[in-house]
Amino acid sequence: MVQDQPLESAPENSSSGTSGQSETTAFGYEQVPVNEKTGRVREVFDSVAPSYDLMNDLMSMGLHRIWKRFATGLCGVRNGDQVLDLAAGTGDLTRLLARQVAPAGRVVMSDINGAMLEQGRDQLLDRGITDGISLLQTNAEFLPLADNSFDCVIIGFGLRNVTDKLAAIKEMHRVLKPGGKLLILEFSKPLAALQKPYDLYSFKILPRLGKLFAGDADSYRYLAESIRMHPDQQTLKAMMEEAGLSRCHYFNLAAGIVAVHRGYKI
Amino acid sequence: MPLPSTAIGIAEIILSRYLNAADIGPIADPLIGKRIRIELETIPGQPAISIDAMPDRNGIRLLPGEEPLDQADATIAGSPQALLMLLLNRSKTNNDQARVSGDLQLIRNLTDLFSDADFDLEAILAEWTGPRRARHLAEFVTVTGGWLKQSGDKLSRNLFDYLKYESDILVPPQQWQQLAEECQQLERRLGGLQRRLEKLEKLETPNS
Repeated sequence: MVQDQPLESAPENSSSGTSGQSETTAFGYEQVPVNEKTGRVREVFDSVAPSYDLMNDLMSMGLHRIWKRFATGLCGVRNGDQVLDLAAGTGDLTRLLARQVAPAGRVVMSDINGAMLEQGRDQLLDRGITDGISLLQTNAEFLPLADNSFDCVIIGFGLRNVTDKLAAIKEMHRVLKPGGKLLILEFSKPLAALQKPYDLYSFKILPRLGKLFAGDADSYRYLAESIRMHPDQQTLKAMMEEAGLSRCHYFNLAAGIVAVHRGYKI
Repeated sequence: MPLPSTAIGIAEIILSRYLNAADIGPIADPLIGKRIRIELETIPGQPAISIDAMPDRNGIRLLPGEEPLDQADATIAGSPQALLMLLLNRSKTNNDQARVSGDLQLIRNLTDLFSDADFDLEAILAEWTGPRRARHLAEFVTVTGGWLKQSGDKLSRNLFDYLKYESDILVPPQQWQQLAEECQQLERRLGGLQRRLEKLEKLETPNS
């Protein structure tokens, strides 16, 4: 029998990520005041930043590299294009995109978390990638960028940590040039047959991996919970359309464990 | 018939890589924003796989053909081989040609885009292996490809010569036919002779 609920029961999800009446929002399965979520997320990523890449490889068995290549392949950018990489973390997507838009283009590598951005910057420097990359520490809900300024905006494994997802998508839409595209790479809802082993892995194995390799089980428990609270494929597509994007479509990867959503500003 | 979105995504990435490696430059304006429906007929008798191709400045985006057909500016239908031949502007036998409808100039622009592309394998490989290995690999593929093509041409020429020689020394069909007729005639005569011998045996038996 397929289990509808995760091993640890999830509270009701709301598509916007906030419940306006009580002024609380989901932080994993916990409801926290809206103004606290950003700080709590920052604490999580401050904690995991040093071992982020190692944990990504362990958690996804290396598949995150393929997912990222798939997403950047769908960006369809070329020399001279302007790209905004939001929630860039340690800069995996920035690195792949910088190669595609070089030498005349530019990638703005952005994250709300200074520790993650620092890790990303150091890794790019270590690889000798410096040209055509700008760094920006900002909240995705309030982008300090001009309207119609990017050919492509991408956010990889970051949207689920944003407090008001719809507001963030509207901001991304605002900074896109007409004809530009938004790509959202994020965990999503897998096939029903996979749900039980996926829950087992997320709630039993993942926190132990976190404790063993990063010395932090709670942060990885939050990651698993935040994935469950994230809107599923259809809901996120509807949110993109609500934000003003057109021709929205999603590509499932690994039987829906991850999905890449793409929409255009027309 | 729906195609998994992952497969469509991979096809789009390969197509984009091909066009980028071919260094075609930005896509021409007449193609941008158009929707071209592709009806891929893979298995006879089964519904075709519908894909919408939408060129933009940097390449061609693919989506499952879920929108109504009348939204498309042009339609291409046929087997995968026929579509490939159409895109590369190569001639093909009449019984396996792609069928096109709608804005034919749009299709022509699209086929020109692919047939004019000068594909650079080294550029694609360099992204994965680095420039030095990419050069060696591309050289290997080019040399091996050339050798295989030469060998294939030579083999087909030799086979043609052999068959031609053999067909010259073989008995012509008319002679085979004549021989068969004569054999049949001989068989009939043998039958007649057999019946006569049987009659003679019967005539001899009462006297003895």
